[in-house]
Amino acid sequence: MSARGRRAAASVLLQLTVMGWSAGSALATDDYTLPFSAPGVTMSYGVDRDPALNRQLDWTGQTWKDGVPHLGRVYDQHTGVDYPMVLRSEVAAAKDGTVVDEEGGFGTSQFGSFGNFVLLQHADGRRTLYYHLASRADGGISVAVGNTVVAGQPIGRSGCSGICYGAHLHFEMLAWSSSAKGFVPADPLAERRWTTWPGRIPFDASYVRESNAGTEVIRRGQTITHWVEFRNTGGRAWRSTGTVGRVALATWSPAAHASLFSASDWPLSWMATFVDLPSVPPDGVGRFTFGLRGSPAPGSYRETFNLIAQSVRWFDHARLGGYYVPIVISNLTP
Amino acid sequence: MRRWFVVQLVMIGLLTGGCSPGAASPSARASAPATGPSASPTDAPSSPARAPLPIGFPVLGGAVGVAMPNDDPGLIGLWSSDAQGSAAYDFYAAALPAAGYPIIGLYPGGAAAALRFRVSDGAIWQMVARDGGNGTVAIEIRLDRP
Repeated sequence: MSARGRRAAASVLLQLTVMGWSAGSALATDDYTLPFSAPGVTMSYGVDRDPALNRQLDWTGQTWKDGVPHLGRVYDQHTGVDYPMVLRSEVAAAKDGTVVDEEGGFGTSQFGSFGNFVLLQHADGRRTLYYHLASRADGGISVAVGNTVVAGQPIGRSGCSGICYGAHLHFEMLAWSSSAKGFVPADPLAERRWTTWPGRIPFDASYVRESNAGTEVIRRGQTITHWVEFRNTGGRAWRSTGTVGRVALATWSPAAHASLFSASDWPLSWMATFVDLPSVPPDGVGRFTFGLRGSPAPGSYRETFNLIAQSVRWFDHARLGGYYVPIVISNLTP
Repeated sequence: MRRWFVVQLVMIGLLTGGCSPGAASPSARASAPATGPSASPTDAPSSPARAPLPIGFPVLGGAVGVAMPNDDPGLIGLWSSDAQGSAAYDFYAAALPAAGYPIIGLYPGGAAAALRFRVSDGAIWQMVARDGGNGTVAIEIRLDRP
């Protein structure tokens, strides 16, 4: 079953706007991870690219751990995200890349104009900056200019060098600006390509099983219930509620087409269902239960489905085993 | 490459004055946090009603009390210290729990650092350490705020 129905992935760039579900990223290889592996590390101070809005969201789209919108703790025009890190905690590359600059000559807790950092260049043209690191002598820098690194690979250890009022990591993304003719801080809230699981892309899945791996035979005019399970192999939990990032099963090839088999329980004509459980953590299995209505004329069909994270991205359909459901519409009672 | 990058950092720092790497600042000083008596913060004349600072509340060694502005009634205590960097944050991260004030949130940063902690009546207060100008750190104890 896992190899069923493999097709070349259609250009999802065409799906950037699908009934209000804008997809911010088309390619899984564009994804970044957070630059550490320690569980439970949450934002101390967030990115604030807009003083008027006082944005305080994490690069993962999460609010503060206690759930309170601490608007007052966002300092305006901050170009990165601060993560509390105990001194000398491991810092990891957010994405495969090459070290293009580093500094490790300042003391681990040396207060001053400059501090220790690593700057990585990534294949998509962006750069990531890891700042306030410990000194090189203290293990703060474990890479050198020209080294290649992979996502999740340790590149140094945290410190409090530079302008720092408590040990933390300043993590920042930079993108090339042709107008500025230089790298400028990217807005991670718009990017939405982050996961708290280093080395994993945010949204990924693999096929597990379904209620009927064979052909569904549906009597014309009737509706049957079908379910499919996928394992969450990404770095972010799947959710069935919320406005951004909730995971749904939707039609594919072409993406988001109105289905001939949409039943009354479908949220939209191209969206079969959201994940059944409120939350499916990484490595968990999520079930998607939906109706299939025998609307079209008798005959043999197939309906292809993919997963989508609302307002974020489509999943890589090939990694879902090219999932589709063979369907036969009959005039006879099955 | 590094020179260009440093120039970029300086420009960002000048623009932000915050955590962005390269923010202009006085040079480093050696300063060790220590418990001990210190001058108490004082209010300016006609000060608003403020929550009192509990007796025995930890104060960073060497910190000097500073007059508190009238327009900030949430401020409970204000000190100035020469101990730059993480000294105040590190001191209070250790001293508050030891003094019976459980910490409920740690927020180190590049423009300021904050600790949220609970006092005996269940209220939440904050310690905020930020640049006090002229090579000093301003240390605030204040009511919690969003």
